[in-house]
Amino acid sequence: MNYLPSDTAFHVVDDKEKQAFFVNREVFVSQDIHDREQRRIFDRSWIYLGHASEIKNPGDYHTRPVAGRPVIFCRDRQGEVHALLNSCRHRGASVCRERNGNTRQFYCMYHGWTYNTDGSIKQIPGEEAYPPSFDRAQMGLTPVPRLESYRDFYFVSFDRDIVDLKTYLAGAADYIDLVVDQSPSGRMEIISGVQEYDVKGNWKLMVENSVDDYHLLATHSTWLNYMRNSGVNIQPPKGSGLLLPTKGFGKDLGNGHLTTDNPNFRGRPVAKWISVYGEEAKADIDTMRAELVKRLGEGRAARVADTNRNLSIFPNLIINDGSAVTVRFFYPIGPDRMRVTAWALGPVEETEAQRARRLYAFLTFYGPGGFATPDDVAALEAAQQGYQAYREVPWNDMSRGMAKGPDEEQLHTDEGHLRVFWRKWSSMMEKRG
Amino acid sequence: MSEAQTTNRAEFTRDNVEDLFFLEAELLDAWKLDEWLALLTPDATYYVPPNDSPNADPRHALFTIADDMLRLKERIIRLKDPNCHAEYPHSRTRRMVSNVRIKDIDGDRATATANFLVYRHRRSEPPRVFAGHYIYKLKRVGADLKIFERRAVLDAEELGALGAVSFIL
Repeated sequence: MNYLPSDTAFHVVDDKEKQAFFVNREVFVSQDIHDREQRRIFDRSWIYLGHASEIKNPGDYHTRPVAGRPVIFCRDRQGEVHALLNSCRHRGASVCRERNGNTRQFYCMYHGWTYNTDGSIKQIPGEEAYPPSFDRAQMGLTPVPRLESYRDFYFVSFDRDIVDLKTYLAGAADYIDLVVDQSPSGRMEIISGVQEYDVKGNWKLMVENSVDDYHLLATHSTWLNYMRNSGVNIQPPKGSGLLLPTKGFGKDLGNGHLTTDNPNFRGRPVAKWISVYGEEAKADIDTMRAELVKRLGEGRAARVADTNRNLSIFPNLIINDGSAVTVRFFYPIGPDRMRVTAWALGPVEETEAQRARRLYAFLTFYGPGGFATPDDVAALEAAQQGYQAYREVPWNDMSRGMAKGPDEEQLHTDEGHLRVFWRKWSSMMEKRG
Repeated sequence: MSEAQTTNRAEFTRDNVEDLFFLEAELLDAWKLDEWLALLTPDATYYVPPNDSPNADPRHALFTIADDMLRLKERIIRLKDPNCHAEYPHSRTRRMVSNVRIKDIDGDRATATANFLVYRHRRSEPPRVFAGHYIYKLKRVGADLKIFERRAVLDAEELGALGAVSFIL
């Protein structure tokens, strides 16, 4: 059978009867689709803002673009967390032009309006010139309509009527728990050193790439060689038919969220030793493992320490809990470009040696100088270039694993979990029957 | 070579340090990576600190690159492999190294700094310009000066359009 969709206005074709699933490549190149995504997806979802550990103390702030808007993520003098639009109520200039810091106020350098760290107006120079209709109390910085957190991960939404964050996260919350459970006190922190880089590819390619384990062998053979040279077994079990050393799964977590869930072979700072860490780390990792077992029990400890999970929270947050933990979000700058922002996350209790080991492990794979991420970027950019021929070669086949019955598990090298993203994308972008 | 000349080449003079840096730039631009590695001591480290905290310590902060010699050797194996997709075909690079300064000499060790501009060219792409400065820790080894720590600090506030640091900076 050589089935390709025809005569369809839809960009996502999900044909369960024919066991076929296609995505039209126009979704990666069209300016019109890009513009509609802003309103239909980014303005109607919960979007990752930042982590509580970034603003530990009253007056701490970070400025960053969120869903295309300049946002101040801050903790006021009373300790409350805010997401304020970084735009003076007078003429719109940014009232905070630094990346991060600690402050008593936000000051607009254009006409000198000053705001408290909770966003309320503090001072307006020459205020007496305004007429009686001018309502000073209404002149505070505008907050993002919704701000909620789950286990120290803060999200905002520009949709006032969106469901609460916990409901939105659905099954993804359990996978955030697995990350946070690595900390004895349940407190993780963003580690200093942010990675911000552009990829000349559509943002949806990063969602796919982050959770698609089918690409690992071809894209990351040099990383696999590095692991092998360091003494890690990278062979799939004989006769298993697997592409990778362990049999992992792709899972639907509801609401467009999805994850891989893979037995680990590549080591975990908490708490699975591999040769890359060095012999001297063995005893320390055993101790961490024992702490996990004592606190969580054998089963849960194994779940936390022996599985790698690349979690995609719709639409644009990825938490990879693999060689280390990375929190990565991205936003389209246009249909063919995105800005990626990524951090390392670790338990607050880590000793200096444990933290150093985590950071070393992070860089074996992740980031713009890692052994794998630059090749992911190359792959995404190559795909984006290929999509220039979308009129002649319109369809991406996304049907791996589709012949399996509802009770059969989708492998991480199947595409069942990728289809979860595309079904959600389609439900928000395309009106059907 | 006479005894005098041998001693001379291992002295921490501007000329000797510049010679080392210029040779290094030439080898890296020519992708002679094994020869470049020979300019480093067997326990050397190579760092590209994070753009937002250039003075950070790699044990406490997430770097772009923080290689010990074990990983640096693996990086070079990778860079020579056609499956290193980010650098295949190899980028054409051109390095300008200037403002070489010897900051501190302590016996057989010294700290030296230099400014760099690295132009990176790939097919059908505008050139990417990596600007910044190097902080080197140098060591006198026999008749030569060797690098035992090499820190490439980028001026860019974020990597942004520079993308990845997939070659040796």
